[in-house]
Amino acid sequence: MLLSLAGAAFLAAGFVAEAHEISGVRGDCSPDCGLAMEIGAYLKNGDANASGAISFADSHLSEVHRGVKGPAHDGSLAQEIVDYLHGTAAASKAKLAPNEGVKLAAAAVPAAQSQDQREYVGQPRCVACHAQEGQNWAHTIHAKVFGLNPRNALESAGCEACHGPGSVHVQNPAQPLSIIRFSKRSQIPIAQQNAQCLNCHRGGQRIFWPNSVHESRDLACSDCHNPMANFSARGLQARASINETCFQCHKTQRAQFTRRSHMPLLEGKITCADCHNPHGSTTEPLLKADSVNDVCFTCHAEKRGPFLFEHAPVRDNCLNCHSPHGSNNEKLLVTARPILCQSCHAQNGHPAELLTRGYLANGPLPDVRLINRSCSNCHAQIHGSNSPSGSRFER
Amino acid sequence: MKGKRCRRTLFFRALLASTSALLILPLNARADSAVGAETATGNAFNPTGQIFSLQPDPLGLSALYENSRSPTGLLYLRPLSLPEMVQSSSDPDWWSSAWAEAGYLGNAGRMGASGSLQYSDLKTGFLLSSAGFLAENRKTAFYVSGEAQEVARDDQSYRLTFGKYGLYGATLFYDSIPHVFTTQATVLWNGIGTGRLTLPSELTPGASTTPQVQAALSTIMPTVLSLKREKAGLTATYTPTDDSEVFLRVTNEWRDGTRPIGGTFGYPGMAGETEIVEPIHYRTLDLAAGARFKGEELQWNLTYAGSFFRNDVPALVWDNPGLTLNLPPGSFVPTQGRMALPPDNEYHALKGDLAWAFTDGRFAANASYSKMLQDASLIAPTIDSGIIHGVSTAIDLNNWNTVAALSQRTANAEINTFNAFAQLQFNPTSDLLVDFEVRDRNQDNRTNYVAFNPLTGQYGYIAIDGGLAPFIPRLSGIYEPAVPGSRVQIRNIPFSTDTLDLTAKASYRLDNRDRIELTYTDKLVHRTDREVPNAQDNRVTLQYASRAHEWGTFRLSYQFAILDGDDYNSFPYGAFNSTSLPGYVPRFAAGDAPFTLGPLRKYDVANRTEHVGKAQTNFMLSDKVDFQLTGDFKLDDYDADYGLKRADTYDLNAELNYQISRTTTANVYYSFQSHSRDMANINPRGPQSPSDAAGSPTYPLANAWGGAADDRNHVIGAGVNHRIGDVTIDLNYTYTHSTSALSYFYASTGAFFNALTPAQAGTAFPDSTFDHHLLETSVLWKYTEKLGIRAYYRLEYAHIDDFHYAGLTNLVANNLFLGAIPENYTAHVFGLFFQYSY
Repeated sequence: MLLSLAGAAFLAAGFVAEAHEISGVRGDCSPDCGLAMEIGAYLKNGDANASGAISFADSHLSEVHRGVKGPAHDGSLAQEIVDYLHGTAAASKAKLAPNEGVKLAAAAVPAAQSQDQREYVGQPRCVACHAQEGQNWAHTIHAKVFGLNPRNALESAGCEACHGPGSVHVQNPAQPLSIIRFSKRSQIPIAQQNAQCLNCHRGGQRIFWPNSVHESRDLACSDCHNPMANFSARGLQARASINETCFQCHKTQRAQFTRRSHMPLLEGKITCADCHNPHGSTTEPLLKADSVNDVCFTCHAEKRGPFLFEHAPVRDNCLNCHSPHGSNNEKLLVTARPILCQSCHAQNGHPAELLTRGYLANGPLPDVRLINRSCSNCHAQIHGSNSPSGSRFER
Repeated sequence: MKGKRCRRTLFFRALLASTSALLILPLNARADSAVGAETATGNAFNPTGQIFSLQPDPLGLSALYENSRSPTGLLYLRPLSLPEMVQSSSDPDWWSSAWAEAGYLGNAGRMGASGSLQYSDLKTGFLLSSAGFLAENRKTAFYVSGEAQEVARDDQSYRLTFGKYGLYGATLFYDSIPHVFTTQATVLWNGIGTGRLTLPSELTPGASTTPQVQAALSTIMPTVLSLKREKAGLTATYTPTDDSEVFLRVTNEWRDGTRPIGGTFGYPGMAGETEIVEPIHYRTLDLAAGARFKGEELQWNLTYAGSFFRNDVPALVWDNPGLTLNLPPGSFVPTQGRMALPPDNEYHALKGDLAWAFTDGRFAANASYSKMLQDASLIAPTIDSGIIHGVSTAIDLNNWNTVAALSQRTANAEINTFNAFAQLQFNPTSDLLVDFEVRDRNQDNRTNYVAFNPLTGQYGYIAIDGGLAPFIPRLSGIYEPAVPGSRVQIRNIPFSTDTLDLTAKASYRLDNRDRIELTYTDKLVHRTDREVPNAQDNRVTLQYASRAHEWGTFRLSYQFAILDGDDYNSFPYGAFNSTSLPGYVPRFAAGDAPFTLGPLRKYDVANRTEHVGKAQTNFMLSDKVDFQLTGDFKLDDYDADYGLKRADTYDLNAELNYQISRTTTANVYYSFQSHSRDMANINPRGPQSPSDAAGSPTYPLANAWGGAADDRNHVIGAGVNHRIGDVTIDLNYTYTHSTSALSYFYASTGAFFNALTPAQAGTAFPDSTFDHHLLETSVLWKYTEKLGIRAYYRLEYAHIDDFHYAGLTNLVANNLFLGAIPENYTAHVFGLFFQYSY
């Protein structure tokens, strides 16, 4: 089904994609690099059968063999590309049958076990085929660190630092497990994909990543990040910003932030990561601190107190009264006052009287308990009072 | 203001000095997902903080395929087409790029505090919307980048980052967030923004008449009430080895401005409400520093965090115009009120994390200890003078308007919190993961304040500066031993909590792409001085995640929870009331008056049954089309006849993303959300007997009533991005429609003391609604590689109906309001900008 929907224009490209969902880097190009770029151009232009690309590669190879190309062109890369392009169709057709992925993954275990024998081929070999990926990646922070100041041998490996040694992939690009891919079609288990990232990014903010809410739902690092290009101003997010990245899945929260009462998240002034640590924490909602209130106090330090007189549900959990992602009511309240307050208060006096529309400002008996800010008209210091006369939060 | 500017200059100097010092100690800065809250880089004009001159690259991520998807199966977008950096002619090791966009922003229509003005600055005028640069030395790997957005506007931000790739770096930043509450406040008082609000000369504190106040109000022009949060800071990290990292974060926030706040001199039926203006002059210094070790087997973090909040205006004093109702002639009326504003406070936390990986398993733990401290000077119980009368006692306010009337001069408030968490995970088989977790949190409130006046030997306080006693002498605030049932709070209540969570999980991997997990959590909660001292919350969660299908991904979970606690005690506060004093005389011979309705359950501690379901699904309809369907529900059923009885939430979201071609993308989405809750209560007739039962003389069933809230929200969004040659068109639209219905029913008009007829009372408030349209369009024409022109248009429409404000004027039945009602508006914002980049 996927193939039919993909369309003929990118049939060949789709096969190649199946085998080549890996990245490239920008670096010193091999003399055959131009070949790869030209092939890319053919494919981009929609050569349905990649015939132009194959023809061009064949021609290039022929020129190498005839000595038309200089001595720097050894022809091996061109040969690989030609072999690859000629062989891709058969390999991919076999591989793309529905639900074949899992079986292939199981069958491919021996290939994975042979990883120890794999060798690094170097970034130039990667970009020879993956020129566009290389161009995109060159602007990323990874490329700059790996290229300008690698801290260890792994970082020096460039593309292969994340994708693993590429020798098997060069020999057989269509082999699903020839290299570590990060995509929906990847046969590599999510844990193994993530392990590639955690090679460098383990611990620290991610110390509680294992079996966190996101990890236990099989989220991949590359669901939220795409290190292959700059989609976001910072953080190599998969979308244009942290918020848009989170909204990929958390659409309820996106809708909540459009409500009448909301924090300035859609206005670009805060992000989901100001309150949550998506990489894992000791709290179920992935809070960035040990409790809800500790998170809220990060920006609302004036409500931290402690106060002389405390309001029990306030100290217990801000969410007893507030809906942080947005609300139809003022001040992010979970429901309208006075109903909110009257859900708990029935003391003798005035709290438990039913306030009706007749008490509205335009009603026959306007009542200060209902109109404007309702109960908070008088109980203004509801988050806690430091006044010796503030036990009822009026002062 | 001059002083404030000076303070900021000093702070920036300090920051620069510390930065200079940090240059010696190399650091590497980046947004930290575990520490701090400064991850945002945008504004309303540019929410994502992107560079305006960049266009999506039609070549996409790869030449080999047109579209690619994340492991979950969502389409990646087209990456931005970034220009190549330019090599310096004078020093070939240096490369750089830079960009700037500036132009004119105009607007028509009306901006409103409820939306377009609330957190943004889109005023007419010249706008340097964005400018920045990146320079790097490719020999030394040193880099420096800077960025400015919304220059000189209220929502401006700046960022300067420097360091050495992969080794160290630091970021200096400044960000400003406006918050406009209202543009149409009618403020009767002078001194807005200060801690002293005085009445205009034509009014007499405590003795003004309604016509006088009305006349004064008629001469007052509307005022904007707003505040601005400005935060500057430094974040830095240094990675001395591959496995280690140290970091430092220092920020200071200035929050200045005003906001509406309630203030009262009365009681329902007595009038005397005075909505006033709170001065906001806060400063908060936050510090965080720590070290992290990230070995393959052993990892640990050690962090210190400190926060120091200071409020320049610790109390607000305001004149009382003196409007009352139903008060006997000659009654005492306060001339002034004084309320305590948020006091200075400090916070210190030390936190350690540890993780150790071993064969087929991992142990992780966390412990933290924190102190919240507040020792601000206390204000006197009242600021007024005069004589008020309790039930049997004359109270001379001169004995209460001095700090000598306090049992202690400072708050000496303290809460200590200890958190501990431990997690053991191991794999008995390759497919099975077993996880045991224990988490303890102990929050100990050590504040101890007794409301005792050494000058008079009395317990209690002065309720609303003496304003309440003339209307209801029993509510003077002073404990009167001779008066039966003189129940007054005489101590603070140090609410403390101890929670212990025990969790066991078993996660089984059906194959590489399917995972099922069963979790059981037993949460034991102990609260001091609450209605339910001990409670147990048992939760079972089943979740399933499947990536096995090439056409989609599923993530489903269901949770069932039962919270069950001790017998409910509706008055656990006896020790903090005069009822605990020797000689206290109950209201009735058979016992004291009920404190509250016995069967009412406060929902934060009530027994509850809960069902929570969540579903995340996405389908790959074709190589170019994604469809997502997500939803969740949360059903809370409280074991309560009165109080909150039920709260249900349902959410459903659908989204379609279509990457039509390499140059065109489109998306459309819809979200529906509902939240409903039912509650019930009984209007007490006043103390009639000791019984707190429903149906008792105090709480007759004839006065019973119930309320039902029903919120419905619909959000529709659509977006298109299309590139034609050198022109990129971006168009986004969002429509939000919210309806909140609040209905009620009652057994008889006794529910509101027969003050209204059923026809007047009705059965529901007018629905509160919110309609909001936001259309944003941007057309960018890259005239050359370096030069571009961008046209911008934004239409924002908002309409709010909120029953709280129906018919509200500045003076309602001798209650004074600012008139800060939600603002409806239609705003057009348009702009033409010129870009330069290389």
